[in-house]
Amino acid sequence: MIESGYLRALVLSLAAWLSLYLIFTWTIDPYGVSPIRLEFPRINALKPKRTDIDRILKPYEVWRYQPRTIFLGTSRANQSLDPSTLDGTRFAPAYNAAIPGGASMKMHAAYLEQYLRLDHNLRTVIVELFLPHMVGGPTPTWADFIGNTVSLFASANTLWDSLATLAYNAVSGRPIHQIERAGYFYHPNRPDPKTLFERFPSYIWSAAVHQPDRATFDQAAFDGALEIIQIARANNLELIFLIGPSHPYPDYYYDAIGAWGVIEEWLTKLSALATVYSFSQPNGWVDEPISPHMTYWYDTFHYSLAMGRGMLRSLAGAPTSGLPDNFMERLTPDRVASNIERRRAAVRRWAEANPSLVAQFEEARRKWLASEKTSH
Amino acid sequence: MLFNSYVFIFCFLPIVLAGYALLRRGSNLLWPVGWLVLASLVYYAWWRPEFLLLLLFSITVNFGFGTLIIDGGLSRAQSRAILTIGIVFNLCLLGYFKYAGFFVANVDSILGLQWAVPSIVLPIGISFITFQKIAFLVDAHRGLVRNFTLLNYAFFVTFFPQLIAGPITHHSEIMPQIGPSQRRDLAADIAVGMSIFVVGLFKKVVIADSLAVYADAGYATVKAGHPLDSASAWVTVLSYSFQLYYDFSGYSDMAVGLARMFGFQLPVNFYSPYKSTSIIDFWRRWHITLSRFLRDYLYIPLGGNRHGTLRRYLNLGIVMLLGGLWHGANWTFVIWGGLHGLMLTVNHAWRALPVSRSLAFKTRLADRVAVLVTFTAVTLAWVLFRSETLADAKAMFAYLWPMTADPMGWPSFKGLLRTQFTDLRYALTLTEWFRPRELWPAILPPDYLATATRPMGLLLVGVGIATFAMPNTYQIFGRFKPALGLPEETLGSGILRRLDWRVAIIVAGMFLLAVLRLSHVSPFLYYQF
Repeated sequence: MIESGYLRALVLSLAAWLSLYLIFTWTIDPYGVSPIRLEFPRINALKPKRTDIDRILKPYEVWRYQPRTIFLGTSRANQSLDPSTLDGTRFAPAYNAAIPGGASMKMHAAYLEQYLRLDHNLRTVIVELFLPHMVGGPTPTWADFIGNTVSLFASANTLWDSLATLAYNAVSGRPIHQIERAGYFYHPNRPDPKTLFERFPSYIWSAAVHQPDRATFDQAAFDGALEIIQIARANNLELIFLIGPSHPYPDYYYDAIGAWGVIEEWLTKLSALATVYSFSQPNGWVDEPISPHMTYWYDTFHYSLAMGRGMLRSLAGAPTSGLPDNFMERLTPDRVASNIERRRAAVRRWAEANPSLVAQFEEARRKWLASEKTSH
Repeated sequence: MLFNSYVFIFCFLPIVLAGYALLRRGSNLLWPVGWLVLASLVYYAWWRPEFLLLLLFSITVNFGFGTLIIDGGLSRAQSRAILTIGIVFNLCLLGYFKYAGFFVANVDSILGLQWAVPSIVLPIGISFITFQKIAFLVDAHRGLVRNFTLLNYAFFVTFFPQLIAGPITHHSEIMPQIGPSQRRDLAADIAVGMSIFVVGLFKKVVIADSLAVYADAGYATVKAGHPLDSASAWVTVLSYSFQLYYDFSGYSDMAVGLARMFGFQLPVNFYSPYKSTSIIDFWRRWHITLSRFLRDYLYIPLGGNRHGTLRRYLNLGIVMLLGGLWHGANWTFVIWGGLHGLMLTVNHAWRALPVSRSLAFKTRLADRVAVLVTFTAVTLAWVLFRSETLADAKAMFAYLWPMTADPMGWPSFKGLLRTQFTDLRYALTLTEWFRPRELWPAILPPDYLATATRPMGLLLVGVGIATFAMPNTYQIFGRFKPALGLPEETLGSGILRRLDWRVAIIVAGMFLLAVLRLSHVSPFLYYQF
């Protein structure tokens, strides 16, 4: 038997379930996107699920917050550039739209185009340059934007992640890594950087890195950078390229594979076309000795929020104290060669002072080369 | 267009249903049936419109053959000749689109002719549509076809609930329903049909798609040449076994539910196959209409069991080999079919032995053991079905074999038990549960699926309980006569006595969960700095 009001009950039940779903997920707000923004300690203050979803979350937040300045880049910019550092400067409000994990110049160009459509307040774009990442990657589409935004509000993951957020806040309550509201990634319980530095040789000389022994000028990647320059010019945007700090250990790697020529070619060409600031000059911050407690480095590639704050304040011309004299340097084509020469000289000094790290690196490299030879 | 898509659920279906409700108010059957044919053609054309021309061409030609056989005044021999031409025509279409590449690749590899392997896009649903049309021609030749008009025939072939993946229906099952369907209580049919559709959608989207992530990850790891430990290999094959079950079960429920919304009953196609106590029983419950087609149009014409035991087993083997090939143009499917043929033969041979009829095999315990043995055999056979190459299948079988003391063998199950069940620090860490990623890492650690994808163990146990202990959709909705061909006891003793507000609350909750599951927040796993 079918009750006469069954279909009506079905519709009403669906409306009731949907209301419950919205009330619950908008209150717990696992991704920090809720329109009602309620925050309760031990309930939803910590957002353990607001992580690893940069490509889904950030276009939505750029549209929602309409920042004046955005950062594009990889995990370095993502982890270390806190946009609130720029508060009170001409760049504010800023948003860190860096996408960790395989972000490429082409991808940055595509995101920039999308952000220009989403954010009518956009005036400045700061692009991080990280040379090993100048390879291909997925580019965003409007369908992605709509699908991703819908998924943040209406998906089973949202429901599940709301439950997980509630459980984490109620049971654990310990600060946890997450994407902060301004888009940068915050990790309160970083592992010991010394251990991570020691893992660098076995990581870089492994199958996880594509052709670690080669450095060639990637024209497609450079075309991506040119595309960014063209988009910025066409839309009257201020464009700044940042060469982030590079610790001497990865610089030793670039030296070992003969990458300086490629880096010089990149920077010479780019600095002829756009504003490029380098933060890679050897100094007390960049060359910080490796230890279990480092102030300016999280690991071999990732500089710390403290370093990032110094970079952004230097860039904004804000008063700073304690920064190394050569912390920021504007690169022009005629200055690139000397900048790189200083880095090379610093690497050699560092290698002499750190023979055990060099030995580990060379041993990992020798093993990798031997295995490559066998496999061919 | 998939049943489990926003466009189908929120656009196509409401429009088609509303149009149908309006048009059936008149007395002329042409309008509602024509509307359903039109909707079905739109549905078919959604993916690649050019294949609509192929479908229309095929319908026209088959209608011509049907007209000749039914109304052509042909002798029996002439009718048989037309039937043969019709079958050859349909098999040629199927052969070209589905098997040309496979055939050329194999001939080329044997003879070394350096032929270019053609890349032919397979029209969606062609395997089902071909069998349906062949069944129609045979029925026409046997004089079983009534109400034969172009519109009715087009409706029979294209009716969208069963167009893409069955059930494979007989003309005689659908045609008699056209007239009565217009006089049925539409609201009641929508209520029953929608409820069954939601159950199917839930099975497909919430259960099958959740399991698919883990099955895909395991098979992708093997395909990439990386090892799995035994526990992870079992997680992979069990995930796939249940994924396939709920995928097909969900699809069958959705098809039955959709047809019912328009007042039609489709034949039952799936009836708790993992509760089977033998392989013979399994094929009476899994893809029932395919088994019926193969029996009626292949096994019996081959001679069936009429020419002795050996010939019967040979016929079974041929039918299952071809049944395997029908599922896909790959040796893995052929061997999967052959393996099922072999298991059926062994099963029949066992039943022929007097000992099989002893009371010791009639107990409840014996039945449970038989269910377990059948499920294990079917699950292991799915390895061939799912693997892309025989080498991948061989590698997966090797990983499934745990008879080693190294961490990849038996000890891997200790890790699974600890992280998934016994060590609550792992098993109950809610924030680490259910993390299907946008991209799996390039290389999964061998124990990843067994230990890191929590609560995979609890999920498999839950799904196992649901599969083996819960009633199926027809046992729940039996009183509402959801499908054709259901056992009498199912029709009379359905668990639901009435569709009321309590059922509405559950069905609405399932619908919301399923619709929410259509959209994913897929975290990205950063595997390279």
